Amino acid sequence: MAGGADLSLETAGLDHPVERGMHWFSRAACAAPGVPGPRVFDRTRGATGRSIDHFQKGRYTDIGLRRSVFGGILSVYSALRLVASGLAVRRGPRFLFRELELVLKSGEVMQLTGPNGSGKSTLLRLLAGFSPADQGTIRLEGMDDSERNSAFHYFGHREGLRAALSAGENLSFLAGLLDGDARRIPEALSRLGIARLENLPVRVLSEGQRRRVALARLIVIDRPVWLLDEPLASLDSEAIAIVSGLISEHAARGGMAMVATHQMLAAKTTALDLAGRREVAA
Amino acid sequence: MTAFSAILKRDLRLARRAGAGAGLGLMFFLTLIAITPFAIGADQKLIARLAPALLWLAALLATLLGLDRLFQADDEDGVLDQFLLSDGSLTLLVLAKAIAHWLVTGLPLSLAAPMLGVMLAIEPQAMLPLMLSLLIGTPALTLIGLVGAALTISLNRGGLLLSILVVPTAIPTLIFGVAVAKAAAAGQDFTMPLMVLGGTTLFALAISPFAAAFALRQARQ
Repeated sequence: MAGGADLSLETAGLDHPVERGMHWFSRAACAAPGVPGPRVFDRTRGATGRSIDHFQKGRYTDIGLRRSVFGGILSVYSALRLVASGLAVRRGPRFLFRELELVLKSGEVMQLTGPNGSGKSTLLRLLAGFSPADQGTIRLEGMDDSERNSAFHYFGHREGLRAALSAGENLSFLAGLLDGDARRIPEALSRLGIARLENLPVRVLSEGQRRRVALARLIVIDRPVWLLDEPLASLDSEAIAIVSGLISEHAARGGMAMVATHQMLAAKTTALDLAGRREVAA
Repeated sequence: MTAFSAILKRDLRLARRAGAGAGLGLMFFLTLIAITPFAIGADQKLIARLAPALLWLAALLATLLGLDRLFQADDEDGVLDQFLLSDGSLTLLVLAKAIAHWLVTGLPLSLAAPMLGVMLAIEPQAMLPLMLSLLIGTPALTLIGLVGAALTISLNRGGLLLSILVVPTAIPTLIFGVAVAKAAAAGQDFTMPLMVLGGTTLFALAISPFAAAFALRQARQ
């Protein structure tokens, strides 16, 4: 984002979480490509004098931008529905789950719970398209199948970072790989409270710091469907609040998220419990 | 294309950091050739006659060395999952990895070969054809190894199986690579073996990225 420096949270002096959040929305809402619009107003300095074209991002054009207004909040993603029906996964003689139905709509956060080994990670990997289901179908409605891959963020136990590279290098690699915006890396790192770690090799970071770096890609790479597998594991309470806030903001912007966690999230969630779904195959 | 160049750039950067065992192949190549005269003895004619074969064998083994980590490291870090969420086709991404691998193994050892040829008393007129044969032939070794690396990704000690899988399929490349250098050393025309060698590389280029991408997808399941 070319104007990112002018509007970064530090320079804008916005510390209150709500203000931060709103700030973020307003920027996201300004992402409409090619739409001449109001000038962006920076509260601390007055009008920046840039039209919103200046803040254009390529990503939204691919996904198809819908500028609908709900109570002042703009949805920046086209309306999507992730629909799974009749889903079954078999592990040896038994099913992990069977005839699982789920619908996840734009703006929704679904919290996935269940005891260890109940298939939470398996389900998320199925939805991400990494492996096929034994039965049933998964569709992402509102998007071409050819674009399906670029709709998903998958965050798993293995964070997707190379130990020999620095935090910044890792994120800029992922931004290149997943068509994100590498210019947002400083902003993403400061949002997660780890701006000063940008040039340190990931090898020397602590577990929690590593996971913060990995989660920064949710900001750097803009995708509508987040599949997060235990995103809050090994995070401290500050980071949990930040990530929980990111999820709420994402939903408020019209994105959707499926989060496997047993902790409370700030967003209003629908629940999916995988407990007691195990069945012995006939 | 951004995903392609991102992978290429990252793999080259990782190789420079030396953490990824790049340079290991080149070092192995140099060491093997440097100690060979000691093993064979002072018979210069014999060494010169064996030189093309020795250089090619060393190149083959040096390429194989560490190849099993090509995808395994990405898999362990969870980066491979992200490959699957990329816009770019997995085939192209896999090709980017192959190119990066060749740039840090095949290319430097091809360039080092003439200098090592001097140590092996190779005929002067065979130096350049030898280097040319390595430049054209080593991409095939990397590409064939790519498929092996993708197939053995989920195995803990995949290196052993990888060599068993890869070495037989690399034999045509070895035969024609050595044939080029031998023909040149004997002062004969080496166009024919050179063209067949190029053919094996093009064949590998046409098939192996698809095969490797397919194998990676299968391994995810």
